[in-house]
Amino acid sequence: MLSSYIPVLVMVAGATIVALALIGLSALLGPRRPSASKDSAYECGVTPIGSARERFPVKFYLTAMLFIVFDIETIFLYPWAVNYKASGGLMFFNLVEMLVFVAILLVGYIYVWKRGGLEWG
Amino acid sequence: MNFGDIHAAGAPILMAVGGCVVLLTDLASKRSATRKFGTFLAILFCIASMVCSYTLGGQLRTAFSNGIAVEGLVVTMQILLAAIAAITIVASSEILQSFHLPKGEYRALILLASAGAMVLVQSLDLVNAFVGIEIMSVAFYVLAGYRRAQAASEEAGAKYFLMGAFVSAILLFGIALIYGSVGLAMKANGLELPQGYSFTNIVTISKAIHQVPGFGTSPLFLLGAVMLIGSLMFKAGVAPFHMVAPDVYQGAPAPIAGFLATTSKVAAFTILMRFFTILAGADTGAAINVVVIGLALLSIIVGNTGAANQKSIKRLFGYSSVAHGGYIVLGLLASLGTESQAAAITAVTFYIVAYAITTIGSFAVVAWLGKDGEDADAISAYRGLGKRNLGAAITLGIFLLSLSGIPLTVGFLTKLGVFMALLSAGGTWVAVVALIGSAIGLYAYLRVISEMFFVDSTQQETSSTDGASKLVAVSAATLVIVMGVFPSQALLPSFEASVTAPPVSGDEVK
Repeated sequence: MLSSYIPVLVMVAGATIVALALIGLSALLGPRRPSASKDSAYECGVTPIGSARERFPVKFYLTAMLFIVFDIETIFLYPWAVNYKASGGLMFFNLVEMLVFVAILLVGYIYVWKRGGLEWG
Repeated sequence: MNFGDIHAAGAPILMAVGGCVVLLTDLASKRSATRKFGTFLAILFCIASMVCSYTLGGQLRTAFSNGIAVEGLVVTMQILLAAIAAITIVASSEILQSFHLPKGEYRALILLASAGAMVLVQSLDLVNAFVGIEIMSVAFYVLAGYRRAQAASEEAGAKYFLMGAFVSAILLFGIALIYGSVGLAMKANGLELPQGYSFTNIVTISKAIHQVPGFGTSPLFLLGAVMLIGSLMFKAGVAPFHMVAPDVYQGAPAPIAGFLATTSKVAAFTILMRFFTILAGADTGAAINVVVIGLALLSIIVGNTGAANQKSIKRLFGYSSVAHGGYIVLGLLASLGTESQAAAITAVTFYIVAYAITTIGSFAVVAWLGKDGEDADAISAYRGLGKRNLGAAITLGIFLLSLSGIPLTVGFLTKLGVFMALLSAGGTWVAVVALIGSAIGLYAYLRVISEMFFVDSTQQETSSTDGASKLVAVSAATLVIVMGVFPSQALLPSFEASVTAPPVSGDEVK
């Protein structure tokens, strides 16, 4: 009964090891050149302490939103890919469905790119 | 999936593809060249969508695993939605030039909002309806705040977005409660899920209502149904969920205000009609009736009294849209009775079509009389308009008379139709209260007319050059009169014919 949870345990152990290894490696190998903005609590171009009513750059949020959009695309693609072979007679339909989904995202991507949403400067 | 499925969903698909194509061509071409071509392209897709809807005919067909159903009523509403989009794009073709804001996005958003509205109109599954409402609403939020440099427009967009987001959550919660209650009731009574339908499908809900004793009065279902009705009423701007409507219509550019007011009402009321057909004749313990009567009367009273002392004509139209939402809800109320149902659906359909024409026309006048992209919003700007610009004054006068329901305009006939359906459903006292509300509303509309014709003003002639808005306003005014004078000959039979095919009931899937 409990043995069915072993893969979960392995997963937890693996995730912990990878996370610790990455933090450790970057501490060991990475160059350390601290600056005022790097040391601030929340590094996204906004001063963390002070009046909330001031102008702030939207670039960070733009990038964050784009990241979420494509993150969600990946989240949808994974279960689709895993179940794709099982769809049998609906295989072609499922392929077209996913192509439509990707095409819609692509239109948005082209739009953002052409309108300069991806330029940082 | 086959070609028939694609054909059934063709209208929203064409609008959505149109939105993407318009967006991409605008990016690809030089700014100066896009104006005419972008308008042309957008209207082309609207016409293609209308043709696609028309070729579906009046018979009932379901598609995409019974997720959508198309029949005469849906076809009528889809054609109306595509027409509203096309007219809005024409009406804003000149005012858009003075905004100094992106134009491709504007047209694309109008097409995408219409695509969402069409998905909502044809959905048979409540999950589909939710997707449609979100596609429509997100485009609405952006359009309402389109003139982002203006504080009023920004406020409209932000308010609409925040309220809309909450309401979407409530709608989703309502759908979840209905899903749960239907599943529990069917399992407890040993009923099979209809072959090929999901638990959130309107057909399944209908089966539960009509075959499970006491389901219609179970608190879980009623709570879900009221949440669903309430959030759709918000989208249609019915009191007490109307707070945001006048602000949005005032802040949004005039053609967009007309677009928002009409498209949201068409979409929300059509899906409500479909939902109400399964409630008709069901034992819901009067709870739904009480809620619907309350919404209708409150809306009529709040809308008409709110319109009375406005200084801004766009706010006046905003409150007017709240009141008219109330009259349409009265029609929906009549559709809850099994005998008055057919007459009520015809009356509501006719009301929605006529309201759309009148509202788009009224907002077009506001844009027509504006200057440099600023709408003629203050009612004081209309003082003595009869002397300065007789054509505009008569056009606006026709719309105001139609909104107040004076004979010889279409507004009278639509109100008459709703009241007749209501009386045959036995709602005499409701009709009387609604009539008193109309009398209050008359003051608000006549006040503007008296400002235009009977008050002298020293204001200078406004040099108006917005030919597109003028064209839309004048043609809409002509339609209002034609439909008001020759109703039975001109248009009424076609509406009756279009709704003879009854919306889906649970009967055919025993």
